[in-house]
Amino acid sequence: MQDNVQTEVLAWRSQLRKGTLELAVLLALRKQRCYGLQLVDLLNAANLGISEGSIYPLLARLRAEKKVQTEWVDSGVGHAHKYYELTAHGQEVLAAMLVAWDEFSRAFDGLTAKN
Amino acid sequence: MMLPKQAEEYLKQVRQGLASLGQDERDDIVAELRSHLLDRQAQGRANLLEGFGSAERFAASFVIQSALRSALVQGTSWALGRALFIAARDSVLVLFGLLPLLLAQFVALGFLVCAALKPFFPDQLGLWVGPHAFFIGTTSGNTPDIHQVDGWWVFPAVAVAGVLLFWLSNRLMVGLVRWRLHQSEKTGQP
Repeated sequence: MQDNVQTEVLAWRSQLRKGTLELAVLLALRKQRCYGLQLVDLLNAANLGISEGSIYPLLARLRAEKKVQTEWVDSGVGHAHKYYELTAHGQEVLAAMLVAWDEFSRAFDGLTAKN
Repeated sequence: MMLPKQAEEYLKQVRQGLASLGQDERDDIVAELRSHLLDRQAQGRANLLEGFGSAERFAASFVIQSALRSALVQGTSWALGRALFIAARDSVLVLFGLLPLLLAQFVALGFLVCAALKPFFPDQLGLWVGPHAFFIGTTSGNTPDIHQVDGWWVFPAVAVAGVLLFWLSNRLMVGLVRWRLHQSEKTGQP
């Protein structure tokens, strides 16, 4: 029984993580430009549990939606890195997402306080 | 700097999986992946491919996304159908949505061909009715209990029905492509 609960919660956490991954990536890029591996390490350091293979298709989508732009930079380590940074549109979307997140979060805070 | 043989093989398979993309896009994706693996190698990670899944699936995530976006821009039934066919590889729902829409497109084309050829074959093509029949097209002539509906309006009516069915199924294909893209956004996956 306890195992079933743990399995359900794990699946739910996975859905939560997937649903908020875009917000997490945009937030990570708000202060500085990053390349893919930096983003993976940054998000995993925040305990978001991102698998390495999932970040690149997501970044490709954000680029197609013009939320980020890219630049190849020779970092002096023998190979170049592809850096991602927020576009003006990306910043606008992030600001709107943060407002929505804040409303959502406050609604849940109210609900948990009542119960 | 060189990667281990297994990683090089993975990159090769990813490149093969990206074959339907343009050369620049393909090179860009593979170069970025190589850069990632080289960094991990420099960090001393033993299993460089941990967390990447199969090369085929990794490549498919880019191909599906690119095909769906490009189809939305083009808007043609051919592009939409092709993109949905590619996306149907990892979604049974897309496949079940696509099949009736493709059928509707073929039926609509049939209507339009009938309407276009009606002036040349007035007795063979048209709207046929009978005790258990109601269809647009032609008959083998071996079914005496059905007859062709006469009237000048049949030709434009079939043409309009063809255009409407084609347009409607095209719009539904656009809706299906948008739905699939929306699913990607909702789950954070491509």
